[in-house]
Amino acid sequence: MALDHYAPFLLSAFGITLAVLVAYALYLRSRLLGARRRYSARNVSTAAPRVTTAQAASSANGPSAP
Amino acid sequence: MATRMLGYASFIMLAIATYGIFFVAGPISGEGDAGRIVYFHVPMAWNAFLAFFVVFGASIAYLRTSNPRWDRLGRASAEVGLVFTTLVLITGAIWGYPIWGTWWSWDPKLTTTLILWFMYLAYLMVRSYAEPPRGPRFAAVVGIVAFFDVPIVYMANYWWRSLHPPPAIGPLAEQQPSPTIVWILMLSLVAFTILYAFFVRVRVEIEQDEAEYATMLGEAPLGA
Repeated sequence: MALDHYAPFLLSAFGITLAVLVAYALYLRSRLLGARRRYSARNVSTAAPRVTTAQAASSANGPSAP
Repeated sequence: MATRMLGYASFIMLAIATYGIFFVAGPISGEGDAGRIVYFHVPMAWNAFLAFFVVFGASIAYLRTSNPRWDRLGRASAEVGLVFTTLVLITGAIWGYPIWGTWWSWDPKLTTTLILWFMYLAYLMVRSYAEPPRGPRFAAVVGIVAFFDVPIVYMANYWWRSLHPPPAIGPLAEQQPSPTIVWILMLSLVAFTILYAFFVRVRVEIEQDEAEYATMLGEAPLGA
């Protein structure tokens, strides 16, 4: 590949195009992963067993007497 | 799975097109190696037009049905189209400096393309900031009106005196270029079209995930 004296223009146009497209792809990837992480975190928290007030009070008082 | 396949296909096709641009295509007469910019500038412009046509169709469908799927498609396509239009303006300026001797000229083609860029920026701003539930409807109206600039951009060479070269191929081309130029241009067009489809698909998935999450929280979707 032998380029002429216009090569800097070609290479800079190509480089900027590549950089913008890669940056946009990374932006989309980070938003997609973020949305899925929030969604799955919320699902886990709603699926986790809930501690009732009575259970919490009993554990705070230590072991009950026999 | 289909999204991932589109991603791989766009990567492979872009790699092949890049090889064609740098190692197969020769310099364009009178423009030297700066002329090779055309091989990615033109396909990105065509894909920007395609993106805005999809926004136009999705906007009409949304106004008729109020189905949020059309709104998501329109928003995704507008964003990807705006990225491509930004790159068209940048690569066009880089091509223009060695060929015209200036980075920018208030030429009809360039000016109408800049107006197109501002219109779709306005579409995204309306879509993001207008109060729900009117935001999607306002944006759909902007998406329909903005599309009328696309044929103006395309025909600018014929309607006004313009520095910009006429279309290289297609029904309005003044002379047919060599088969190598057409072949590499088509290859690059296919690569960028697959990339466009990939970006839109990922963007729509993000919108769907965020809408489902907002529904789960009992809120209106972000920007809806």
